[in-house]
Amino acid sequence: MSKNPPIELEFSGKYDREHANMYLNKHKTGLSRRLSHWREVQIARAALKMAGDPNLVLDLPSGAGRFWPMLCEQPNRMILAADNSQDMLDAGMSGQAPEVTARVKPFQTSAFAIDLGENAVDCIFSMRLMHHIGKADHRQAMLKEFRRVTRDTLVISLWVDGNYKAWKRKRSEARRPAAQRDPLLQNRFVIPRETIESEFKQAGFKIVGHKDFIPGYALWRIYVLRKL
Amino acid sequence: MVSKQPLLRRIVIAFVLMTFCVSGLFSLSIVAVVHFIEANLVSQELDEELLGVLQHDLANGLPPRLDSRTRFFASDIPRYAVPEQYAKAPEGYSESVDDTNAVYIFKRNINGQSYLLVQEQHEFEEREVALYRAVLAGFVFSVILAWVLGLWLARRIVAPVVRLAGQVRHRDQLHHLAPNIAPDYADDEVGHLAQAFDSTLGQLRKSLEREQLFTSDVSHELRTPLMVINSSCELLEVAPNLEPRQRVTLQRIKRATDEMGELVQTFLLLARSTNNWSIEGGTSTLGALAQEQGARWGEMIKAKGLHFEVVDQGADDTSYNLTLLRTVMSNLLRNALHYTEEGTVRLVLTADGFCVEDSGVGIPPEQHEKMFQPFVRGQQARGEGLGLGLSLVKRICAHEGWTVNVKSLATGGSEFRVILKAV
Repeated sequence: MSKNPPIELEFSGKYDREHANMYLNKHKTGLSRRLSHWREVQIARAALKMAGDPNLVLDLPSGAGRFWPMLCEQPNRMILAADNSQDMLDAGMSGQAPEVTARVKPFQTSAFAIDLGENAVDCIFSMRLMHHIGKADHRQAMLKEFRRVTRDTLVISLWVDGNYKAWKRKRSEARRPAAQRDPLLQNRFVIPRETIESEFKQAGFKIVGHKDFIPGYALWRIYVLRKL
Repeated sequence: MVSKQPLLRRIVIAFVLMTFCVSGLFSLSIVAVVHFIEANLVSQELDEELLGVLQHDLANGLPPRLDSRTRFFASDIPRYAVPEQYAKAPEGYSESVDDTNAVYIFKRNINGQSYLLVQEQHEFEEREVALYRAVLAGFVFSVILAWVLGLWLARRIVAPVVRLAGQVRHRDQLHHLAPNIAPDYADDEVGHLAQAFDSTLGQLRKSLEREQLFTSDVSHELRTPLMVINSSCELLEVAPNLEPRQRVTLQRIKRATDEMGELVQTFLLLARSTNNWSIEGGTSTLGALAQEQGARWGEMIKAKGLHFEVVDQGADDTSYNLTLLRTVMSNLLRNALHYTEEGTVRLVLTADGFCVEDSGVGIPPEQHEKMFQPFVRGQQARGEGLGLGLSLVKRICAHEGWTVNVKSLATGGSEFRVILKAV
């Protein structure tokens, strides 16, 4: 593990303190943001239930901990919160309620080389990370690392095709010449469902089920995977 | 064979079997009761009718007054001669059902003559068949229902056990922050099992921690006296008035101290959590280390009367953790020395790693995997050693992403190959 050069992706550099505090509050402003946060938490909760209500959950990337209150709803659960940015973790630990942070242990790590032993957690809970990773090699490396660290399940959210938004995105991208494309959108990727599902299998996971944000419309989908 | 079925299937089988027996018994008793009541009622009715015909109608010279479904036969009256098909009917109530008609027969023997009433029973027979069909359908339905219900119930009953089994798998490797599993379960048998797991695994974890702590403390404490011995040896070495024999003894002491120092270092590495294995010892290339180790072990191997050679087949300049690589190589060479009585020991460097070949006693193939477990030694175990060497080699390799394997050579002896990187 330690011999491989660490994978560093460009987007992971942007999460400084300022950005972190923005993230903490981002999901509390505006009706649509609040609604979307509510729905995301709802499907994440259902996905965790599908994963068998794990006790020790590694939240990676935890960001500013917006899923921690939901994760703490199960009384007998500990949360290991990992993020590539210490600032994000600090923002989370200071921004969330004390009864929540009491059950969270934050540590800074990379998703490609998690600072934990084999089979260290019951479940890895990875929201909004996979859609940043465009290269199949990188995805495979990350999935392999997840497989090493989790003892049982992986709950992972990403952007998939086969819905209205993906179709629209494809159409608008086809229209625009490459030079004019929004650079911010270029670090997020829609992964075809068949591709990602075969990648899951390749990495040694079995698909337990999935939850869509809005079936047929939205890009977001949460997969529940079990280690084979 | 039932005892080998999974729990779920066993519950379902029990459920279905029980329903099969109970509802089968009920269905059979319904059929029996219907039959019994039919026989009783009909025979009572026909008996009275026959008596009426004999005592009132025939006695008064009248034809029998019967409804259209009933006919009268008598063996002594030619007008009412008994048809052949009814002649053999037993006395009392009986039924005759064939393809064309279904009848009740009531026969009475008086003074050697037999009198019969034959009543058609199409309608009743149809209802009876319908009733039997309903009973059969009910039986089949209840068995199917039992299967479905049994499956659902069994899943619910087995679910906590399945969950517990899943939670306990690899639990020894779980992060120490993991909460106990018992609070997930109700205070029932499964809950008690979960509590038992919690306490047992907790004890296991504690004893492992104690062992690690002990090893690390002991190793740490041993370092200082070893250092004292070592420096004293060095001081003695420069003393001018030492006899050659004393000098040889001194060198033996020094060599043993060095080995012990390495062993202590090894124990420390083992005791520390694997994530903290640092590269404090510096780095080295394979070639440089092979030279150092070759010089050190070659001397001892040659002293034992064996042939020793270092063969370079294209080692490159990649740097590796010196302490770890040295531990791996010296353990393998020590092993080769201990288990070889005559012939050759070869240290072969390749582009992807190195291997140590010997012409020793060899290891049976079934023991190859076992060799890398702690405190396991070959069948022809000899020399000093705790059997920790190969286990440590394996652990270091696993940590560093190297692989180590052993195979028997065609010429006898074994080859331990360490692959440091993919080429």
